[in-house]
Amino acid sequence: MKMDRSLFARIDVALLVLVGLICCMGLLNLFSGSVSLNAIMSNYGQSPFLKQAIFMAAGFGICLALQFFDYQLLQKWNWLIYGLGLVLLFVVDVAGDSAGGAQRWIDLGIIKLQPSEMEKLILVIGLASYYAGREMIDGYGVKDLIGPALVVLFPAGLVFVQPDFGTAGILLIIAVAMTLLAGVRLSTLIPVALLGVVLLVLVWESRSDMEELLKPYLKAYQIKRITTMFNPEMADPMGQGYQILQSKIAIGSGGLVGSGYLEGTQAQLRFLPERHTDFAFAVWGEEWGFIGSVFFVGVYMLFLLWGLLIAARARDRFGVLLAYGVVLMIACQAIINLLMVMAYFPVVGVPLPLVSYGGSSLLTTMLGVAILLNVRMRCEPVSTVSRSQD
Amino acid sequence: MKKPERKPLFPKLAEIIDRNEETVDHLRRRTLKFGLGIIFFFALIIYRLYDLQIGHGEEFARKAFSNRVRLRKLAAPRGQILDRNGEEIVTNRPSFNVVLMREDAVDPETLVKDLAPVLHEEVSEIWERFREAADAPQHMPVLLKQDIDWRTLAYIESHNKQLPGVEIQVQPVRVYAYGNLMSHLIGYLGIINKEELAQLSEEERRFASGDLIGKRGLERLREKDLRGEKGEAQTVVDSHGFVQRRDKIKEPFPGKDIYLTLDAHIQRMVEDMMKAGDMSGAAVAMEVNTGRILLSVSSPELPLDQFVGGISKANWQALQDNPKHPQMNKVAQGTYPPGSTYKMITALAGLASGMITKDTTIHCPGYYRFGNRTYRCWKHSGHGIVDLRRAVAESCDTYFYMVGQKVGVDRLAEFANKMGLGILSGIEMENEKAGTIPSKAWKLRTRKEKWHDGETLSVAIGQGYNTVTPLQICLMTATLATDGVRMKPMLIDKIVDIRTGQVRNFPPQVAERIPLNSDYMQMIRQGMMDVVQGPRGTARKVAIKGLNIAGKTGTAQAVNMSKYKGIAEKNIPYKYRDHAWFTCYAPAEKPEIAVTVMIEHGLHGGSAAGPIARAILRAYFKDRLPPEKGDKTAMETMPPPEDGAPVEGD
Repeated sequence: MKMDRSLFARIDVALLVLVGLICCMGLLNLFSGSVSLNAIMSNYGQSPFLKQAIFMAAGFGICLALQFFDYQLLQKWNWLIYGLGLVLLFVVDVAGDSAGGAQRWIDLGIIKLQPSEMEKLILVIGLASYYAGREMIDGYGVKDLIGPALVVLFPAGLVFVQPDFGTAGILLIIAVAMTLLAGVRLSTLIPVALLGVVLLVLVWESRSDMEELLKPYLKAYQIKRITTMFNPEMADPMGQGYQILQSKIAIGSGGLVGSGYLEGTQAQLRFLPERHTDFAFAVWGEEWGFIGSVFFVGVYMLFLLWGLLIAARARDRFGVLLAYGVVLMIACQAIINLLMVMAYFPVVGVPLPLVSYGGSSLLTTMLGVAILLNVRMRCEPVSTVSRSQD
Repeated sequence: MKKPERKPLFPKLAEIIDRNEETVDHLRRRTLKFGLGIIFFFALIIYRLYDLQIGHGEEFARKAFSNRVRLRKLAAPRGQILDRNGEEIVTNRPSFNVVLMREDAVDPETLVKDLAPVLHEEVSEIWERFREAADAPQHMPVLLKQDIDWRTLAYIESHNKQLPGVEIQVQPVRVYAYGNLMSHLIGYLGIINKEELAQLSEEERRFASGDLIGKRGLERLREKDLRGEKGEAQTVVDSHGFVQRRDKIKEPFPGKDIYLTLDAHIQRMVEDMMKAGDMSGAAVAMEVNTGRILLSVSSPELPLDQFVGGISKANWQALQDNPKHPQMNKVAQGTYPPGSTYKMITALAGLASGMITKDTTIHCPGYYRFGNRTYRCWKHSGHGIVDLRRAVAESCDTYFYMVGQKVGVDRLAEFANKMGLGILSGIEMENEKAGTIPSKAWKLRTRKEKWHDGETLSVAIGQGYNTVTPLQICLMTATLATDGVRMKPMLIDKIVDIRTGQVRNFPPQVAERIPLNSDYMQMIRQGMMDVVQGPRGTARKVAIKGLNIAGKTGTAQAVNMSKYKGIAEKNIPYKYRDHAWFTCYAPAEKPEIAVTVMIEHGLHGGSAAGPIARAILRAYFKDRLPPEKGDKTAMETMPPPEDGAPVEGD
């Protein structure tokens, strides 16, 4: 480990600054979004703000500590990580804690782990490893795609029955986007895409008969949760409409300059639902207005684009795929979340990475950032680095 | 130009591609394309932010406001109405209304069931209130019962835990200290109707449906002064409707107090007298030098209590069908032939046009011949030789037939209008009637007929087409007393804003100065003094020791029906009996007030209207007059009804 000091000199300060900025805005916003929650949360001993701050600090620490290891170790340990992810998902389905109508958590004492969050990153690592190991200049064919399909379908299925439609969807999006990056033959792509569309249509059309179709495989409460996901208006006539309306009112009432920090009435008087988790950005929009929102969104976009530049300059195929996968994972969650709180996307439980309250999501995202830093640090062949040290 | 040795942060893309790792390069290029996708989505997000926050920002800000802020109007106490001495006539008291806040009502079904017996209402009636309020926003309270008594209030206050959502609201309501006193003048309140709401909300958006508004009388005419300004309570609530804080509470401003020029005690005395005598008619008294109305009685009174909360159809119909017309404010809306009170106009016109002098005499044989017709004097035996003074004092018709014939109808009309007859006085009363003062042009215009000279003779003694209001006769009398200065009659002394202490005064206004030789009026006034004080005057019974009064009686034919001629007066059906007038001013030497009394179908001015005028004068001048025997109350000064008593005068 002689090269460590020189490597740390090449740590990507710009990425750290961007991530730090987003984290600070997220924490600031979480404080505002959870002020009124403190009384409720006092049962847990800690306010969401404090917990999140601790997780964030820990996240940064882990992030830096992981720089000692070459990211290529991930490719080596890939199957172990993947297997562990599946086991955790299985455990949570069987013996997890439930909240909000879904079974998502494993209580580890200090933290409640949400394996479905970790699975997003695990899938990125798994697919990156798979595609890195099988180079195809003219793209992959159907036979080559059976492997990755299985890699994604096992965890996605386990997440789906929790049920967590949002996360399952994210897993599928990650898989599709990474496969497209790796390259697919046109002769394969077109029929598979058509098949996918047909399948989606079939599922959507049969959503009313879903109960019958799933009966042999799942428990009754799981079926109920899944049908509720597809037909929210049946289960909760005003719930989602109310949520999305209050979110629009919150963001819209911010106007140009916002109502001021801690002054957002939609958030502070609890008209806004889920204001510390999925709808956190609505609090930001209300209190900081259009100017603050554009600043936030701009920083977030810079962070993602910077991540892509890291991917594009990675030293090897695995590095490109890995960094790209991490950016993809964060980007698709952020975009879906932002469009969702502004009523451009249906309400699915997708958090805004680094901003929404939740330890597992935060930890997963910070591990992703650690990977980006790692890839960036080792973007030149090791030999080059070593030579320069001589 | 040597580049510094410092390595760039990133190796150039070209350098990496130079490594000739074809499969990696594919990925690198595609990665950058993915960047375009991210930029696209973030542009969409920023567009949406612009749309929500800038495009619709104000709309959402309004929605956020109405999310959290509950506006509640606080009723303002209406201004009080007081008399010239500060006696309270109309005031307010708090009334307690039971309302339901629908947002807080957990279980309306059981609540209504529990509440109905407490409020002494049927369950269905309460549900009816709910239905009426169905369109209103949820946070608007539903009115369940108005003006509950103390016992119900105590019950609800002590059981508020069991009655979630039920609240007590305080609202001021009108209190009439003297019952129906001045009822026509003051009027009453009612719930604002749709037309009023539409009309008023354009001017000032202060009204809401359900508000009370003046419907009649000064309550209507002075609505703006009396109304006051509603207060506003702003409560900020959270998403569960729990009150977070009470914001910006604007205190309601009470309405302005109106001090009338009237004297409540004299008014009450006269109203009681007319009620006790079952008399229908009007009485007006006015300060001759200022035009301030001292008294304005229209009998029968308006039953104000029937109008509170809206009058029933049956009650309304009963009022309409009542032959004594309680709905009419007879002071300004009732039009009657002036009878002999008009003779002052005829005399004035004769003097001013030079057709007669005070020494012009005529022999009255009991009739006057004009053309081939005979016009009778009321005194069939005739007055003998009469001059102007005696003609006024004894109300000789023959004399005024002569004057009228000489002067002509148009000249009569001219002077009648100058003295305030046939024109609107501009008093603050609703639907004031101008009455009719006929002229040749008037007849041609309205009847499309030529004037007959014979008709002038009827007009000259106050019959025929002539109709006037009691207020106009009072004005005419006052104008005679002031040598031709006609004042605008005033009802309001001052309006006081108790919040700012501002006082708005209403100074006297001269309506018209009649440029005439003051001797003419002096001549007429001589005759009027003889009416009361003279040995053969028609109103000798009105005379008060220590007070010189100048007056004139009048008897006006309600209908011109010869078939009742010669029938004993008590046998004539009520509605065909003559109207009785008496008008006067006092003191005759230095006039202060003019008093006019008109009793519908009262037969004779001197006997029916005179005693009321006398009581008014005695009450007004009581401090300056020696006490009369048995002079305790006004009632006792009234002579007992004289059935079949000898007809006196006129």
